[in-house]
Amino acid sequence: MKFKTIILLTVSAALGSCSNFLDISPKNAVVPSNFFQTEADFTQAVNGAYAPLQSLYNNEASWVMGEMRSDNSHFFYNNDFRSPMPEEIDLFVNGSENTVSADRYYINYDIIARANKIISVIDEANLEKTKSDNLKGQALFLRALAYFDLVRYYGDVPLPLIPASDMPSATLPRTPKEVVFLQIITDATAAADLLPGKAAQEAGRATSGAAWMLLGDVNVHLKNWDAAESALAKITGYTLMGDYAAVFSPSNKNNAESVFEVQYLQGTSLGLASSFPYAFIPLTPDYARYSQGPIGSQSASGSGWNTPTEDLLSAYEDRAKDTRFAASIGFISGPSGVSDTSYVNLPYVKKYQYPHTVFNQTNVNFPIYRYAETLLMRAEVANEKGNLSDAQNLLNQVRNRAGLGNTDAQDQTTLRAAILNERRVELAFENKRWLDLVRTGNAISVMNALGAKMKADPAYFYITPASYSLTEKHLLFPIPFQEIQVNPDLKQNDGY
Amino acid sequence: MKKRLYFHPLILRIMRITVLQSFLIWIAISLGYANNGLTQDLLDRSVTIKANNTEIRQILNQIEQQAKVQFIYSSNTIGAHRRINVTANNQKLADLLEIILKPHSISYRIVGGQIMLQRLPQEAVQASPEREESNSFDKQITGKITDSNNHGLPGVTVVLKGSQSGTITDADGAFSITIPDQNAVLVFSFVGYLSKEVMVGNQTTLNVVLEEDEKSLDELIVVGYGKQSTRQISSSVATVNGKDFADLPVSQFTQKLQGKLAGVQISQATGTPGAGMTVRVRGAASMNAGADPLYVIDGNPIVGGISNINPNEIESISVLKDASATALYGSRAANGVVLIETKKAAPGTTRIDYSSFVGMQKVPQRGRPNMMTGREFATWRKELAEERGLEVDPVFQNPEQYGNGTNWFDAITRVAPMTDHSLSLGTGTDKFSTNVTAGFLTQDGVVLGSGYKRYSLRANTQFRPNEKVTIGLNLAPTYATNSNTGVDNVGGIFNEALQTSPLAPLKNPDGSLTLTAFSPGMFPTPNYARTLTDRVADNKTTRILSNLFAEYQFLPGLFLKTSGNIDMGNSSNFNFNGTTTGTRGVGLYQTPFSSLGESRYMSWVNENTLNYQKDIGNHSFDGLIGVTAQRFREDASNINGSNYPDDKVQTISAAGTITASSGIQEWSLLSYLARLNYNYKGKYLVSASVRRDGSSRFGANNRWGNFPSVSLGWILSEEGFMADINAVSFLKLRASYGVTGNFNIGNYTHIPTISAANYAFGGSIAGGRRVDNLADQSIGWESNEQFNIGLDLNMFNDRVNFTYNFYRKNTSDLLFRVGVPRASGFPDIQTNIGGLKFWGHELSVSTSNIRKSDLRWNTDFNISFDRNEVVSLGNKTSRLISGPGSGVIGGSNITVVGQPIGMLYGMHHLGVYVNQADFDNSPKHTTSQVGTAKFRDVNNDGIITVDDATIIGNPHPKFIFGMTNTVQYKGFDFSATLSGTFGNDILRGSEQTLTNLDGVFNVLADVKDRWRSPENPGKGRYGSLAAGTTGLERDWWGSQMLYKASHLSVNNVTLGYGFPLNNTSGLKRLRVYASIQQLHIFTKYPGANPQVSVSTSSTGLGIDAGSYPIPRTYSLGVNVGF
Repeated sequence: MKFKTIILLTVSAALGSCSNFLDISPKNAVVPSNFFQTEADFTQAVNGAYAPLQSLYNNEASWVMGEMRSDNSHFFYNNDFRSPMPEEIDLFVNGSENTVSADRYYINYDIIARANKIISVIDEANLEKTKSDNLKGQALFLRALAYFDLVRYYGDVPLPLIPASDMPSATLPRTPKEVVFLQIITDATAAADLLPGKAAQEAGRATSGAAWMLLGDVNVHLKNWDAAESALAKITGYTLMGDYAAVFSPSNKNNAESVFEVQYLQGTSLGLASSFPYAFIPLTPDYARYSQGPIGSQSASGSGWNTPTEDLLSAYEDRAKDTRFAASIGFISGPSGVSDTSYVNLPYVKKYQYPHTVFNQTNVNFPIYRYAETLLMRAEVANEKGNLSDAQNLLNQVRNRAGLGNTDAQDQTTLRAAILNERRVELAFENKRWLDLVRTGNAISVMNALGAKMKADPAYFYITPASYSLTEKHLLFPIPFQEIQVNPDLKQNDGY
Repeated sequence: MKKRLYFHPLILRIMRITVLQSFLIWIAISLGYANNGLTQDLLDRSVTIKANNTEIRQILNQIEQQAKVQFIYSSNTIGAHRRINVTANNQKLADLLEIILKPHSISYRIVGGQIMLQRLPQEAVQASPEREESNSFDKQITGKITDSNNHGLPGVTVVLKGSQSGTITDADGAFSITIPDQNAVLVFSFVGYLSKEVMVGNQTTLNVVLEEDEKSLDELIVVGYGKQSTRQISSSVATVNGKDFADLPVSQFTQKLQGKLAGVQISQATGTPGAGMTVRVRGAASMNAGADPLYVIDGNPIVGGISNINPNEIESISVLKDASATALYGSRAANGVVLIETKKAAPGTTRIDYSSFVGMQKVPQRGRPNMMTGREFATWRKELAEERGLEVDPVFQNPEQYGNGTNWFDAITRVAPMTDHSLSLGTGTDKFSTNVTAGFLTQDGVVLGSGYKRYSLRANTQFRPNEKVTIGLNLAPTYATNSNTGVDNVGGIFNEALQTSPLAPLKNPDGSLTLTAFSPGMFPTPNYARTLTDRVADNKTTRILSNLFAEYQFLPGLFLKTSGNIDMGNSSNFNFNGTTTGTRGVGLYQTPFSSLGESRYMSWVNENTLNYQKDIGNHSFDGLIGVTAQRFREDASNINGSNYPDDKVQTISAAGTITASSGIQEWSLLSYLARLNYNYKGKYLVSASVRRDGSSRFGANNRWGNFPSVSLGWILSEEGFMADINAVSFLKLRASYGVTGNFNIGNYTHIPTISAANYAFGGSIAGGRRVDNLADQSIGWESNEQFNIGLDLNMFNDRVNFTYNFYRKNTSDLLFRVGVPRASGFPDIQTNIGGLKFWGHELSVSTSNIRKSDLRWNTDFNISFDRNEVVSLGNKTSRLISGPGSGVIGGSNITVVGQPIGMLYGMHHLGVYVNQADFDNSPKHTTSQVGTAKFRDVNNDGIITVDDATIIGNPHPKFIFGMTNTVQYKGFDFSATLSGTFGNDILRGSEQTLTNLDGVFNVLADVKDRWRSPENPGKGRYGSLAAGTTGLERDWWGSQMLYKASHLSVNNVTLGYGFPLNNTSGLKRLRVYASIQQLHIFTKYPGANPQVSVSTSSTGLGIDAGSYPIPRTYSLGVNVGF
């Protein structure tokens, strides 16, 4: 009997093993039941919502779609390894399979999903109001910024505003872009009201100034000149840096001119450094000289992109006087890294090349909004509203800082062109040019003309007849086809 | 949860004791009891019995209960239904058996503590009349019959061939018989052993060794939680014995099983030394990552893989196929279960076995890619420049100077040796037995730098303090090292080395290997021979498998077994890439970097089962209940070191920059199980089982799943109406139905986790977090209902044996990672959605073509037809694009409702636009031009886009087959094993680079026949070289890369010779053999390996992205037994 009892107990011990035996939570990660509660939690969540910005601006999508697609830059064809995806976007033969344009779409939605989660639960958390307002304002700003990026590149897009929790809430159709713009304006306005000014905010976080700038940008895009004017007028407390080149220096992060920039940091093991400057250096045995970093293993596929075009070089009125020319563009001569051909004065983007200590890990931030652009936007608004002298004054502030004299443009049309060209050179390689061409209605004519010129030049032997044949379809990028595969309610943009 | 167990307070207190502690207490107690018993000679036990007109089997049952002995017999053979009268009062068992059995011509002997009964031939008992008449020569022959362990076999029938006369051996196995002349042939036969015929000649003493017949119907085979005779099994189980695959010179036992098991497809995707194989039971296919079967070694459901197991340790392998066989493994059984039993020592024997082989491995000629020679490559590059209107680089101006150039295939491959030693020691008494196997295998790889070594030890010990208690400890440590590094697949060295410039020299004038190898206009490429030689790959795995169990017999037939099993492993992988190594696209690495990955896992399983066997009249019951618990934990960490100052010090601490990550994975499983096997008169068989699994991988609401099964069997050949059909020696019909589950969903998918997403503000780190995944918190069990019918038919005295099975499996509530739009912020959600169905036919035939004493020829053939179809999927589009293929069209495989899983997906290649008219009149892609790849406009929208990608092939074979022939002639033995598949396709993705028209790689010589002009369009496979025209053909995978993969592979041919040895010498066995592994593959597939697959996932099959070549191995081996 005693024996049987022991057996019974043994088996029971194994049997029961108590209910805890099957309750296992991950040890590597926090679970929601103990998160989204304290101010520290929400601060971390908001920081996490900024994180995709680093991916987006390190990603080739940022410069391929924003700059290479325009007349500002091209790629250096050296008959060796090329990567078709970025090239196709440059040449206007990209399809919905293009992984580069898909990346931009995906990363923006990462920001949106994280912001949605914060916005949906922060009011229930009973945080101190000023803290809560600041955090919520940042989330709203980031969401608006991401939707503004999406709507300009892709047109109508799905508009999730609450976190997805299951299949139906994860599978939304496209929302008309007018509605998306309304949401962006709503979010940016709310963010501007909730956020503190730059002086009161931790450096690098979204501020009320950044929110007003975003709101101004949206309204300029929509040609709501009055709304743009009032938003831009609220951007105060910023000044232009004396030296154009100093604006981008990692030693001047978040300087007086900076309204909003993507933050990078070298020297951590967390992958917070930037790497985009490396993509702009052609394959060369001497690349460390241009990257201003240590020796490392330069990869063929990650080199030689965003090469400034002749067209851009000639957009600088006076290459000697305009300090922006030397600050933005460098030239490479000497052996190339692959064939035994040599580079002869091949231009490259120098603007972001600063000394750093680890190969492929640079310390430069990426500017999203600078006060110089605020001035140029205000100039544009003033010009469109007929306030030509205001427009000239604003434009001249930017020109004078660059070492140029006042503008010659006197009438609205020439001034409009002058402002646009000023944006081109002031904001070169800040991924503004393609969107400027589209919003001003110049994209098709400018790019087709450039394409015709290139096709006539034997140096561009690799450009096929189908390239640079822009139609309306090319003003938007295709929705990634994988999105449509899992969600047939999404309709593709025309022509793709 | 409605179901809840209520425990007595005492029990609740006891529950605080951990399971393992309880287990140890239990063993201690058992040992205490064990001391009470004394071993008695079974035959001396006394029995009291009185029975009138009772069936022999019932009397035997009574004896079993009284004397606590166990009989083994086939009712059919001994005629156990015959009714007899018997009276015994405290009689010795030996005497009683004599009384009961002898008049009915039944003999007995003791085997492993059990009493085996068998029938004496009628002829042997009654002296034949002819014998008395033929008196001319009569000569007395005496001798002894032994088993392979040199034990005398009692009860062996000895018959003079062609006559009715004969005798049986006595208790020691000795016999004496009179023969008429020198040409007399004696036939020795015994149930469970292969019959043997011996020509007497002028011998007067004949000592004969009978070998066990593994195919005997009464052989016990391992099934889930127990053993059963083949005869009594009503589910579908395929078995193979360790002896059947002894001599194959390979490192993996799975390689040895190839082609030997019906319904089991074993593919060798890579020749990497020490790499495992892909095992799929019944075409197991899953939408999830894993379709591997569950492996159970000596009752321990292991977690750590099987690639480091020494094949020489294996006694037998059972593959459980249908749900009735597997349902006792519940939630892990959906892909089948492979039970591995390791070698144990038998009581009363002592043996030492040593086996060894030495092999040379060499890459076969067939399937080597025919790359352009130096001359051809230079010519091609010259033409390329000319066609593009570019200046021809001086390097390519005079192609003739290069001759054949460097053959990079030869440069990175070599003839490599392989040796294996295995020493096995076994000894045992009634109380204690142990078997120790030590193995050492070393295999250099045929690709430079690669290699594998395995040191293994297994000690299986059993301790029987008395007849009621058995305690066992199996302990198997292994240590394996390899120096393999990324040779396989896209971006792997093998593919890239082929594409290295043939103009680049392999060696410097001083004989050393060059550093880089590329020509103008090519990617910077290292000399891969140098990289493979200089790169450090130091990978080590330590693994300990152990089982500790105790079995206690309460009553005759009632056993309690409790076991504690541990599977633990430790691996460390270090790689160092110095400045003399590199990769394509980069050339040489400018600064060295390294990585060190370490992981440790531990899985423990505690199983407690109570088994009761009872026969009541014609009813035979075997019941089992049990409870098991398993817990797994893995700790992994990874350290990357970069920016080393130089190559001199390679440890991580010398790195300029170090980054690290780590993680922990855990799961637990708690299960209850029960099974009842019942048979009536040994011919109507019923088996029912149920397992209830609770898993940590599911949320609290869906934690428990029930997995029932039932099977029925009917042995027709035991029915009276079959008695007259002499050709049929055995016929059984079977049917089964059951439900199994699947818990391969990752550990925490029901929990939305939050992990780090850091950022920086103003020059300092800002710790951030984000929600990682979209979690379905109500995720629940997938159910796999499986129905199986089968028959086993043995004919002509078991000389022709058929087994046939048909199965049908329906999977519902499929656990599936469904893609969701990325606009949700997440790529997918793991949920229960969709359904699959599987069905198939399996047939195996084994025939004994020749069965003579000095010549035996057996053939085993099997063929399986497996099908699967997707019934529903969760996506609104009902399609899933997956696989490792081109990202341009989303993948290389498509899963769509109404089709098999993971069909090959791509463009329909229609050649090239041969001329302007063709171009103008055909649908085009935006980048198309005259001379570029032309695809079919599948959706007829007038343009070529990704939407035109479609199903182009099927990676699933129509059938798979295997055949083994073994021939024994006197001392010689010969065997040949073949296997193959029919009807499957391969998408040879490596052609993306092997036929790349950009001039940056060396390519297949075939590319010479490309489109040059409308007048000279080539063979239509390869397009124009003009700049900007090559992308479509290269990156849009399609039917231009599709091939038939049907093949017949001659896996192994072995010829051996066993020396005849005098039994009195110490040497009991000496055999030498020569063997060729991977002799030849008959196939139309142009690549080297038609079994290749980059991915083992069902949604990524059939893609050849280049792989480590599978060598042919020539070997010589020896088996010695003492």
